[in-house]
Amino acid sequence: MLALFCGSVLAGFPWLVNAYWLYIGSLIFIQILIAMGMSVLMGYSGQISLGHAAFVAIGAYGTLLLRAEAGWPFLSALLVASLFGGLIGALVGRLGVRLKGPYLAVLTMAFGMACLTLLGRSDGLGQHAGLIAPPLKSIAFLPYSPTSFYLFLLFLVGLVYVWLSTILGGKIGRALKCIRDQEHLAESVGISPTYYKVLAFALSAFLAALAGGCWMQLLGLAHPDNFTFQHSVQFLAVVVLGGMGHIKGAVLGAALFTFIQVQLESQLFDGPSAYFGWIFSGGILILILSLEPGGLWGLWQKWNRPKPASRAL
Amino acid sequence: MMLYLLINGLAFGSIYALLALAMSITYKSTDIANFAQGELAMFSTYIFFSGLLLWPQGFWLLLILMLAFNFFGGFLLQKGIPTSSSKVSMIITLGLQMLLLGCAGWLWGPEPRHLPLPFEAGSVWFEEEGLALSSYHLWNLLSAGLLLGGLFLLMRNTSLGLAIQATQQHPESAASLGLNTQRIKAIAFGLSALTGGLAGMLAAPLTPLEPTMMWNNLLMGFAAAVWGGFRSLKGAVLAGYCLGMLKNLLAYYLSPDLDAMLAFGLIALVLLWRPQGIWGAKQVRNL
Amino acid sequence: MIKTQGLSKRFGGLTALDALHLDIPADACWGLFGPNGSGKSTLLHCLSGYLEPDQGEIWIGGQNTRMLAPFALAKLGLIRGFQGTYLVDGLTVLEHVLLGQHQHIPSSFFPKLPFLSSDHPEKKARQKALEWLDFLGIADQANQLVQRLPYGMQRQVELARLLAAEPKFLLLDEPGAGLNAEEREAFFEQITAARKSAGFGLLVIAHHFSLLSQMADHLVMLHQGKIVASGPADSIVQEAVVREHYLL
Repeated sequence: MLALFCGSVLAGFPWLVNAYWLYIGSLIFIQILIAMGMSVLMGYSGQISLGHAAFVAIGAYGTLLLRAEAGWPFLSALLVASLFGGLIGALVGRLGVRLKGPYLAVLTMAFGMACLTLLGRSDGLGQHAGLIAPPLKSIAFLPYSPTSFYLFLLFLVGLVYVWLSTILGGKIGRALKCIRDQEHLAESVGISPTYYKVLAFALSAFLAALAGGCWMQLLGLAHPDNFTFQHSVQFLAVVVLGGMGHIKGAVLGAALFTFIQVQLESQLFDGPSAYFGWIFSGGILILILSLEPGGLWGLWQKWNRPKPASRAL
Repeated sequence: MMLYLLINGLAFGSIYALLALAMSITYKSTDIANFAQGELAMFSTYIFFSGLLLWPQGFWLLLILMLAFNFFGGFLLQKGIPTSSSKVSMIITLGLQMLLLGCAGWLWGPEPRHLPLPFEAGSVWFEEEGLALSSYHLWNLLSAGLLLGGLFLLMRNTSLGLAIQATQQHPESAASLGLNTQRIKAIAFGLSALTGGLAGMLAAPLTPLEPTMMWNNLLMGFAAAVWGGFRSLKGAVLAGYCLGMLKNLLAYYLSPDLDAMLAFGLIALVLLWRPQGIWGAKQVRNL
Repeated sequence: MIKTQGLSKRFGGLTALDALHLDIPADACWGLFGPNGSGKSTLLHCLSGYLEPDQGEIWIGGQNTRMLAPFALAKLGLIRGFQGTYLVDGLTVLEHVLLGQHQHIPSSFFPKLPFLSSDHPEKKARQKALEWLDFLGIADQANQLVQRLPYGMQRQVELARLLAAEPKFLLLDEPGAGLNAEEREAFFEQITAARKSAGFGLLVIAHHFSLLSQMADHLVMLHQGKIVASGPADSIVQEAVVREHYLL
């Protein structure tokens, strides 16, 4: 009931606000897609990635190239590019499956930066200038406009949310949590840690690439500056703010993070906006982890129950 | 030609070696992988730069002041980071990295600066095919070598060094011997910040002083630390120097912007081959 | 079901298992005892794939397990328990039992929408999990978080999880540890009752000789990695080495 209500309010949003806030709303949906994937990876399976910007880039460049070079329609280009992102994610996850602690972080960080170098060097990917996306005429049977794109993103986020919360509420979610907390126990009941760790990596890479394709279309271009190491850390800051215990935390974190960042930046800061983004995500990481490692979701649970049940990491 | 490439590579290598050593010291004594190591160095180099603008003659005094400042900064940093879980601490250092990056960009702007050295950087003592080795290389190699030598002497021959080693290897028994392990950990953090800080000052003439100057250096430092298994100080230093030469050869014969790819390739290689690092001890399944 | 040949495991200079030969029938209930450090737990870790033996071979149901990971052995129906409790934060009692059923619930990446149909695999699994909880008399705790339960009940949740895995053969490592005498006796009775109704083979490590001899139909004593006594409960008490260590 509540979900239906929220859904209809969000669907009515385009007719209530101006173009700027519609753009911010679309941006929030894209952040939510990435954050849900990061939440599966970090909160559920207990792994870390500092290279997720690379998967976002795969989605962005992949969708753009499939549309521009092969003339594919947007939706199929987006889907295929995202599946490709998921495949690369599975490979990286497989590479890092036995790694603990800083090793996985360093490996994914190097992966992200290596991909960025590749973007800057490849002629076919526009080198440091990036690529301009061909304009979109229609999206999922609707003529393209910022409003229809916003509605498309809303639908996509809703779909992914329902899908994720269903599979995470069942066998897959339990297996991931068990690997995170008690890997020996997981193996004793027939759970293959390798399979599920790689699965979580692939799933979150798929969602990042999905978000990347949408982001590219929203901006109208794909540029290497949008996929730096700092972006990967920012994705991390978003889930840390929201809390990693549940994908609801990721949704909350993404919405709040983007909203506050935009608000604060326009009021406080007069320098280049990248610097503010860095300061903001750095500050969020330090503050939340020192004060309330469970993030907003952990705070909510603490408030609802006398004893917190979720663990931060 | 080859000589030039190798010596210039060693100059890069001493930056990587110092960074890798700094990271290994921190990780070994506190289990924290410090992602802010490079940006701490960058920030302190900027402060050093601002000091030099105010007082151009005071290079050496300011240098010593900066190293001391770094030491105390690291000391305080260790006190400030919550240590409940090493993963949380690691992510906090990531946050610190972003914060320092943003603040440096905000305070000093994105334009590259030139860090003045008190001696003629152009005074060439070796030249071939337009490639020159300057007194800068000498300064780089000497100061890195001095610091590394000093650190190894400190670790091996002084009671402080022995206390740090004891804390790294058996924190519980070190504490039961009456050592103040918290303070020793903070001192180790301070030493690592000092080491990393010097890396920043050596890097500034090689790559111009700008907020993003340590991105690639940090990655290469990590690659070297991973090769040393994050726990072998000697391994980290050795790997750092090798990496510097390798990078320079690659830059000359292939392309100068392959740092990240080289680092990724090397990290992936070592993790596939020996996940505990070349010099690291094998982990045993803990039931 | 379980067969070993020349099974050896050393830790440094210490020999934990010394050329062990075992042949446990599929429906047997074996009790394993011996002084501390005699290699009981090491044997269990080797059988369940958590430790790699230095020498020797293991066959589970006729299959050599040399290259098999623990989870693959679990898929063969060899399920093990752990010493002490292994709990997952934030999972309820019911979810722990469902965890045990993991390999019997079909994978569902594209599930029928939120459990609408009654033959949904997740729903059926829940039903079964509740039956096991009911069997152990803790069905009323199904939606509690496990870490809030008293220790005795946590052990029961673990047992429910093990039973829900539908073992062909179950390995238990000191299931009664940490319980008081009364709880322990009741717990062992529940294990025996579960074995009667589900019909799996059992290898159980325990220190409490009397309880063990009531439960198991074959007892084995390990000492310094070797079998020093073996036989049915009533004959093994006659052996000198058992008398020496257990002062019967």
